[in-house]
Amino acid sequence: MKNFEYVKPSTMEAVADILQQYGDGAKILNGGTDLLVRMRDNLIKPQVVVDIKGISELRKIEYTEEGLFIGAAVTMNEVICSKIVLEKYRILAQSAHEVGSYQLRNRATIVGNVCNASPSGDTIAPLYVLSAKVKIFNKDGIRLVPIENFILGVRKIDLKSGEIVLGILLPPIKGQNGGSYYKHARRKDVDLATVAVAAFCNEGQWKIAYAAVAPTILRGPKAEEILNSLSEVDENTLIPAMDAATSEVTPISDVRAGKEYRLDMIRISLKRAVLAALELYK
Amino acid sequence: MKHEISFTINGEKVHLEVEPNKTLLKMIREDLNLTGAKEGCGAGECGSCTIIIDGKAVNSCMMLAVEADGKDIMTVEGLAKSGVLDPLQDTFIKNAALQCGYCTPGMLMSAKALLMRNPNPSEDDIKEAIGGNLCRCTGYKVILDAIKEAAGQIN
Ligand SMILES: Cc1cc2nc3c(=O)[nH]c(=O)nc-3n(C[C@H](O)[C@H](O)[C@H](O)COP(=O)(O)OP(=O)(O)OC[C@H]3O[C@@H](n4cnc5c(N)ncnc54)[C@H](O)[C@@H]3O)c2cc1C
Ligand code: FES
Ligand code: FES
Repeated sequence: MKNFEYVKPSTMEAVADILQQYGDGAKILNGGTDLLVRMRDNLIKPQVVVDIKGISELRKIEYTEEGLFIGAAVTMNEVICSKIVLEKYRILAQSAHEVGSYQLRNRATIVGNVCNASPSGDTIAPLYVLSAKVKIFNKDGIRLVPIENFILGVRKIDLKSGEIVLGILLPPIKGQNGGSYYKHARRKDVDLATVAVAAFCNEGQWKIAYAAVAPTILRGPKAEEILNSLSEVDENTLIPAMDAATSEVTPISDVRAGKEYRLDMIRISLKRAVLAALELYK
Repeated sequence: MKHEISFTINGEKVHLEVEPNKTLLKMIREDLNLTGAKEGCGAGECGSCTIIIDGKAVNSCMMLAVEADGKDIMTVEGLAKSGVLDPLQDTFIKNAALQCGYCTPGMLMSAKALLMRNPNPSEDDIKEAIGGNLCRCTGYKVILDAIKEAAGQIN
């Protein structure tokens, strides 16, 4: 790892100043589980590393009439253990639990997962189906961006120079609902998704998102339309939605799996996610 | 530029100057001579560098030494108290839960953190806690047994 300057400001303004001053030469350090690996491999060589864990407002999990705010420095394990998440946004806790290992989840954050914008980021597809918004700080104010617009490509996000993600906002959910995340991986711990599906149903309306089958997480409008049109969803009636899933993804072949295998597994993963979501629907 | 940091490790207060690009694992092994925690992968995959910080198991290869400022750290060297082994160390020996021993310090610290937060874990809890600790020798069964025995579930 190349040497760098380490700073740990206690205000957002101070972070913004450093980011503005150094531009691409400054990197935000959150849990560090993506950043430090990339620095170790010399894939990036920042001049300044800005640790944001000293800012108390980034550690909050708070439910208001706006919904649930999860601060940028809240760890996966904190989300998994949060009563309010388990009660109202269970699918997010479930996907956070799929990340890495227990030790890793004591450091890794949801916001780090989102900002890393990997196609296999486990918590991102659930954030798509929960209609999450990304809360962004800059010195002129705060802007809220829907997660689907925030993620632009592999490691590409809608963040301008001097901006910092404050946290994630999950809108309140009214009425009956249930959601589930199905991750298909080669082994249970410390492995990235080969493919994954998030399925969420609210008052009979489905939202589907696919992971690891395109440069970004993808919504599944065709599968959603089919599921929404069914009078009863079960393992027979949802077969057309499974077929639709294969038609709306564009997987590649890599070390984890071939393209054809991914296309097969996206069908199965859709089925499993939808059926599990139904079990939890209440 | 070096940073001055203070922390507690195995009950002792320490004051050090560290370079920002030094990992916590490297500092513990090279500056403090506590060589229990091992570097297997250096990238969060294997768990051989697991230590406990403020009661939580973490991979010390994926933390900067400067991030330890103000923290309370426990390494495998802090498990035995005044020459008396921790129950986990006893049951690891009794169950032959190690062969080459490379994974053992990390495995013990993951298990210790588990028993600290949950003295009566289920088998699934144990598997969750050590899911990030690779062992290439034992096949894990004896490790599960050792942790269960330390939790008073078998004897
Ligand atoms: C062994 C191992 C296993 C893994 N397994 C999984 C897995 O199963 N599933 C999975 O999805 N991921 C996995 N990951 C990847 C990683 O752990 C996650 O993406 C994690 O959520 C990243 O969070 P972090 O807080 O550690 O991010 P960091 O590494 O601190 O940051 C990630 C990126 O986001 C930027 N950033 C962080 N916070 C902010 C902010 N507030 N504002 C602006 N930019 C910010 C950083 O500058 C950096 O570029 C794994 C990583 C390792 C090393
Ligand atoms: S050396 Fe830290 S996880 Fe392998
Ligand atoms: S005892 Fe050899 S790796 Fe576990």
